[in-house]
Order: sequence, then structure tokens, then C-alpha cells
Amino acid sequence: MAYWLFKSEPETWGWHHQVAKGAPEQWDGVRNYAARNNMRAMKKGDLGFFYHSVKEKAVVGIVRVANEAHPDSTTDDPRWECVDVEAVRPFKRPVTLDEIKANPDLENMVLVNNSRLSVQPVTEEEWAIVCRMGETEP
Amino acid sequence: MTKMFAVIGLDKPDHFARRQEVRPAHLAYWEEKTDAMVLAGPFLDENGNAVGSMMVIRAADHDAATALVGADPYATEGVFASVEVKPWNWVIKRPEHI
Repeated sequence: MAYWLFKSEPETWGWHHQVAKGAPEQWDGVRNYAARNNMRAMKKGDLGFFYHSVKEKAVVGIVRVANEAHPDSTTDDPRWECVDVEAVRPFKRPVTLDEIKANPDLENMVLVNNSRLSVQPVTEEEWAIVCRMGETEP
Repeated sequence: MTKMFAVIGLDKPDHFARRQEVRPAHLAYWEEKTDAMVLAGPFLDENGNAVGSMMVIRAADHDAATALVGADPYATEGVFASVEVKPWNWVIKRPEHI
């Protein structure tokens, strides 16, 4: 299983929207090739951090890839594909970007080095560390 | 997961000066909401002065869109007299990145 991180603006599509959906929802609107390629590489059952961007800047929950990459229904342009994700569990304690940056064991995390990328890979080791920081089951 | 909404905000009468004061905060507010903001610009009067705003934004639902617009400094700082938020879709001449 692989691990990922999905960035979202909380007021636009926040963790509470994902939970309220109560079913797999497509991670649409991605118009960046690197982010799209990461979604193409995802397998059903992979897990991802749900990260709130803008002011909050924190990992707030875990989502599961429910369906692998398919055409993004919000556009007719066939280049853009996305996966469907569903909420798994919230973080008991959100882990902020500042905390992640301050942890030397996470210095290679994509979030630290290319924070603008909206869909990012996370290593198994990084996954375990961030879950521990958030007092949350990996 | 998100839908597009057209937003029409009309200013209170004779509030051009107030709009100019609030404009930097309005621009800063939307600058950081790159997922939400699709396009925006002002309505103009016969002198070319801004008297309102037209925006297209993305949000999870109508409530989220209304909340986003409600926190816009033009709404919180007394520039808008009225705001209308309507579900919308971009069909013709839609750019590839939208």
C-alpha cells in the first residue's frame, strides 16, 4: 500500500465536507500534471492525509482511495483525471505544517520541500511519524 | 467535490471611496484561496468607477459558497449592499485549467 497527501482549502472543500459526504467523492479540479500523475499512480485502498491549506496548514484526517483514476467529470478535457476518496478517520490532534517542518525526521517530506503540489506522495516512514504526532492510528 | 457559483455583489450607493480602502484586503483574502477563486472583477458605472463585483468561485455547496463570500472584506467591511450566489457552470470558452 502507498501513502499520499491531499491538500484542500477548508472553506472550499474541508474535512467536514468530506465526512458529511459519507461516500466516495471524486478529488476533482486538479489541473496540474504532477498532481494528476500522482493520482494515476494510486491504487484502491491506498491511504492519504487530508491537509487543510490556507491559514490552518495542518493534517486533519485520513482518507482512503476508493476508486482509481478516472476522467474528472468537472471537465470535458480528457487529460484531467482524478481518484475518488472517502473519509476514514479524523486526526485526534491536527499536525501543523510548522510542527512537520520542525521535525528533522520529516525534512525530506514533499510537503516541506514542494508545499504547493496539491497531491503528494508520502513515504511509509513519514506516514507513521505524522500519525504518531497526531496521536492517531496509522 | 466542488461546484462553481456565480456571485454578484452590488455596492452601497456612493461607496467607491470605501471600496478603494477595502480593496487591498479583498484582494489578499482571495489571493490565498486559489482553489476557490475562478475569476473576478468589478462592475463599472458610466465613469468607469467600480460599483460592484462579479465573481465565479468554487465551493462544496451553496452554504460553503455563501460563507466564503460572506467573509470577503467587501461583505464584512460594509461595501456590498447585496450579494447573490447562484450555481453556475462554465461551458463556452472554458479554459483548459478550469
